[in-house]
Amino acid sequence: MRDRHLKYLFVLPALVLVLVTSFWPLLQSFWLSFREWKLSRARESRPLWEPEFDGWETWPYLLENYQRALEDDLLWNSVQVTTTFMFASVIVSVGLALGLALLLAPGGKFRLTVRTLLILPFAMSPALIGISWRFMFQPDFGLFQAVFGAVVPGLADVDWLGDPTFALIAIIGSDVWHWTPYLTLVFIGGLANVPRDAQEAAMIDGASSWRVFVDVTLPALIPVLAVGIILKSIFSLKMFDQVYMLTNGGPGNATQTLAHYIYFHGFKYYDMGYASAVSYLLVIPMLGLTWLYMKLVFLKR
Amino acid sequence: MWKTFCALLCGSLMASSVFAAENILPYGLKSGKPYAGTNLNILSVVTPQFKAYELRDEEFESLTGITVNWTHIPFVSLQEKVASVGVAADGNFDVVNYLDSWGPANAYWLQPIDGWLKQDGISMDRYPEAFKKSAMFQGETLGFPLRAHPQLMFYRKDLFDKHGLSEPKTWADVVSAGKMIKEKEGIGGLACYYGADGNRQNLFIWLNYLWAAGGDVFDSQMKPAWTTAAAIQATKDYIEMHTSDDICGEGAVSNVEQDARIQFSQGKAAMIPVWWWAYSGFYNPNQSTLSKEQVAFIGMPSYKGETVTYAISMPFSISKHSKNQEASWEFLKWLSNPELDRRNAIEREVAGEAIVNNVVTHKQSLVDPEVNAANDNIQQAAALSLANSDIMPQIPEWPEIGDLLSNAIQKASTGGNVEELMAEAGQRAERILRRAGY
Repeated sequence: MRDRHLKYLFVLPALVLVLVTSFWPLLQSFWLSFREWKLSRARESRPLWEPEFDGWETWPYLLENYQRALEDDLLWNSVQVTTTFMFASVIVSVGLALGLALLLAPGGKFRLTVRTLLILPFAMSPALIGISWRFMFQPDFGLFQAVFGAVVPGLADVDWLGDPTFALIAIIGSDVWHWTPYLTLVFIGGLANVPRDAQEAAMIDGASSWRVFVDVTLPALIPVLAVGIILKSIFSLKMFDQVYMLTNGGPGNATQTLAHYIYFHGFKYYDMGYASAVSYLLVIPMLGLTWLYMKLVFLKR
Repeated sequence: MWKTFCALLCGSLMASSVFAAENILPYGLKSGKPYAGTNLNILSVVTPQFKAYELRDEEFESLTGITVNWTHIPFVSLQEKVASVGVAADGNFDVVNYLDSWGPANAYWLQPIDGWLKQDGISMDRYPEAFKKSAMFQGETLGFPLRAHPQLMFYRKDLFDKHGLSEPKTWADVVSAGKMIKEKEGIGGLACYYGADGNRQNLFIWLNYLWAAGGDVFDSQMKPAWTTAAAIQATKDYIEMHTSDDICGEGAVSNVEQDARIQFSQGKAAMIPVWWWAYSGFYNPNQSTLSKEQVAFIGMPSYKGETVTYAISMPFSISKHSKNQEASWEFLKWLSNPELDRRNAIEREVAGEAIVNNVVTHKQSLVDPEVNAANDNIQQAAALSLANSDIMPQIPEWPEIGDLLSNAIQKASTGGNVEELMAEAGQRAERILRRAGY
């Protein structure tokens, strides 16, 4: 009995830390999303709606930050950029990771070494990746510029970060480079759990490698793939670092993701109430994906 | 008896005058060390100029008994840091350094210094008008513009001489010289920076065009004024240096000021309009492939016969939350004194450390022969540049409105329609201004 209580005592410091650093700011920002807090005017927030002064019938004033967000076409632009980025980065990184996992799953010294090295890109800080990639896309001295120019002459004169489409491709590329190794390792783990006897039975029955993959390996891998896809989608939705370092949302607003939009409104324009409201709009798809993720994880268990 | 009385009187007068002389401190500092033992915390940007000030602290400490701790923050993180200091309101930093365009948004917690200025007989007229204006908000003086910059046009003297080009005095000269150098040398004629970086750097040169054309950012009713015919034409001419004149170096659309400086330093562009502080970096062998002999400078070029430049400053202000405001004022008096300003740009070694700094902010330092001799006369060129200069609008909403403009300019440089983009930015800006109660 005493031991049962003791374990809660051990968890308590971590729990307090999480409550103070995560839950409290979450609640505070939710409260702020219904208030006006302009750091450029005062250090304290003020209510958007006060029933005693405004009257009860004007309660929609309370939602002014949300209404303003939904009416801002720059916000919708960032929703579109975020969605495009999410789909592209998830599809490409999961596809590449699956391919790499199939190549590296069998044992062998070389494959093991490659697997170990794969962790390096994922271990790098996203901000560092952003700044390195920006340097590599530098038109005068950049490595990518030289390589792409040599391989595809048509790309020699492209100002990658100055073109709306290429800039987004560059951000997707840096994110895929960052995430593919991690997903590869996850999928290698998943492949290790695919029953060997089922694969061997299919091969003995004369199935080609492709049929074995499609009919046996892939169905067995679906739970791991689903978890990988959802996890990657959640991280893609809150993409910020590489955008900030590589393009800063430009040219114009062509690569401005939702997280970048929120950061600018909160910390550059000092409009904390509005930034909090937009953050809570971002929470909606995140909650959906997290729910799916939890469901899959518990289903798996 | 009479003789003894006279001798005593003379003795006491002499002693009192010696005593008084001992207590007359330089820079108008209060005598008697009334704030001795106070410790001041200073938040400032990372720069050799302020590093040199920090190295000179000993003088201030010995005169006043006040000790000073500097916290130097890189510019990219400074805005967030300044905002957090204001929100924390705990007085942990007594004196803060910020970019002038952030001043209005932080003015509510910055202590106006007009009372102290009057009390100590310090006139802000010792600064060029644009610098003075940059440290003010709604008629009050918030601080001293201790780091402030005029724009200059730097160019490759060797290439200009080689091709028989004269120094670029007008933007038309810049375009023609740029075209020739790009064709003959295969490098960018001008290091352009149309990239929107969140600090509105791509407006720096645009403002020269806009103001010289007689346009402005806002009209007297605080409505966007950048959509008038003259302003649109000026914007088009600014954008066309890249889109049709094709004189810019590589990456003009995505380049920010730092990229353009690197481009020029690495010999990939022949001209760059930029702040004067960049000069030493252009011939520093650790940063540049150029030698001092290859780099020349001139005041900013004129547009349609007019030269109006943009100036920027980073004032130092006292926090309203500081518990040591009087001691902070003593510190600012010392830090902002013209003699220190002058010495800081002449002496190349401070407390055993090598410091290269050409930034001065006082009118008298700009024309000081010794300062100019130590810095290749860059201050003289700066004084000319500052003769007709202005700053960005000083309103709390400027960062958001400025970014709208900055994004519109970058989009236009990718080939977008200038009229449409500027009109769209104008509509958005009007909404922001309406919301803010203008």
